[in-house]
Amino acid sequence: MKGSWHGSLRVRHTLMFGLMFLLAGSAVLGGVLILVQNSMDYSLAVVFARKLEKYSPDEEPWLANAITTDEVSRQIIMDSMRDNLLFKGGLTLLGVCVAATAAAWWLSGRLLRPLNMITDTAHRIAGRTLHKRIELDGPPSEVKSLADSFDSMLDRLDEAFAGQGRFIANAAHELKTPIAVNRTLLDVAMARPDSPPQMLRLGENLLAVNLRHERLIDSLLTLARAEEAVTDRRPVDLAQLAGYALDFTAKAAAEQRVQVQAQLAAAPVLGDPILLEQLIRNLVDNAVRYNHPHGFVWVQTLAEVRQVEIIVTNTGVLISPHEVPALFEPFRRLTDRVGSARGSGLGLSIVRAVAQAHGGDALAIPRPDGGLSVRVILPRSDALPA
Amino acid sequence: MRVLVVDDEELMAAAIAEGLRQEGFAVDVAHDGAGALDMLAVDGYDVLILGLPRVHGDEVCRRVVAAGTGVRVLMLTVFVSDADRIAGLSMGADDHLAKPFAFTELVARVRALGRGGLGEPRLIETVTAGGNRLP
Repeated sequence: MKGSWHGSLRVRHTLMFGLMFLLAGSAVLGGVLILVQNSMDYSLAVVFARKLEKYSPDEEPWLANAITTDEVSRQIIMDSMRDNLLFKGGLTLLGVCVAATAAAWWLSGRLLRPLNMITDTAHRIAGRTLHKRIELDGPPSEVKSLADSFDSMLDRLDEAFAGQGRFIANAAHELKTPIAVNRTLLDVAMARPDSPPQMLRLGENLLAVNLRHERLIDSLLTLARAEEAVTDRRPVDLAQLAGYALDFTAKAAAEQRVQVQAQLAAAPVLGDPILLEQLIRNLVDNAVRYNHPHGFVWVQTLAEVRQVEIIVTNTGVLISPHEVPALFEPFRRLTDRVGSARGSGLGLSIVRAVAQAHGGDALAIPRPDGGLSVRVILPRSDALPA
Repeated sequence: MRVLVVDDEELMAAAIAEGLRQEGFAVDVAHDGAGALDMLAVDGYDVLILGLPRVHGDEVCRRVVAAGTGVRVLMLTVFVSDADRIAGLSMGADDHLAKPFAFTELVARVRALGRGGLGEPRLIETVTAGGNRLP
């Protein structure tokens, strides 16, 4: 992409310059031609006039013939001179034009180099981190102004995201503290030796609700984090993260009597390992949860030339294609709100948010026999750990 | 075993204290850093449970470690990122537990600290996002 942008402006500059040079050169050539013709015409006229002054027609009978032949000579001189000038002048013009165009090409490249540098740096910055700046050296110029404006824009973006990060950190603390207090109060109350059975039952229920809140807050925080730019990326292998996620969900899968099969080929990406592991865990959680007993879950990671994929497929209820987009909306679930206490309804929206924050996307395709196949595509990166 | 519980949430501090007393520990309570440091200066404690918000908690932890009284520090905090956990580790805390936590987990950790165990903080596995959930 860098090459083509660079080439197009450079090509335009060079062609424009070449054309202008051609036009100017042609004008000069034309001007010269007219001048020379006028000059020659004038000189020839002087010759004839002098001749007539010197010799009178009465004394020299050959003068009449001479005048005629002079006229013919004059015409031949003018024509041949014009043709010669045009031919040789034209060739010279063409030659110099080619040389000028080549010079324009080189010059244009040199002038555009700072712009190229800005584009490269901006690209690197946008791809990885908001903390770097272009900091173009050099005398004040339009290009330096551009680079400086870009840097100050990055400053504002960095500050905005930092502000958002601080907000999330504060929100996390404020939201989770009451949940923590609840949990400890309930744990301790239920552990008292004199707790009556009703109290224990109530305690269990309250703990379950509290846990739901905790998970919901975690999911919301993950979603908020995912929607920020992923500012700090590291080399990560999806296959490895999938392994961890599968270890974590193995127990739940066993409880639901769902069989999980995995085919994990190396899938290197550049990203946030916690967010990506959360993405995979959400996928597998959903696949296990929205399944039927003795159902299956298949997890596959693979790498292609420019992208990597993780595909999680599960058996389960029949889903019609028009229901699929809604699955990615926050708080939407397959069954109605009242019917199912399973999950927070944020699972797939987090998956898509994390995928998009990493420059990829998530797609879901219903299976003809029931169930869903979710495919997450991310840009491949073979960067090695620092 | 003597334990000092420090948390700015009074209900939390009281609940932890009661729960630990049920398990047979001798427990005192403080609600801020100054109170905690005062009590640490006066009495000897085996374990300090520090549930103050980040900035205050870090400061108290640093001072406690600097004082060199040999009290073991267990930090309780809300985690948002693994950067938080690494930061806590670098303060010199002996162990770290994410809020919300299961009380039985807290008891186990306190016992282990009191015994003088837990040479290697468990943090290391979670830092690499190895199969542990984001709290």
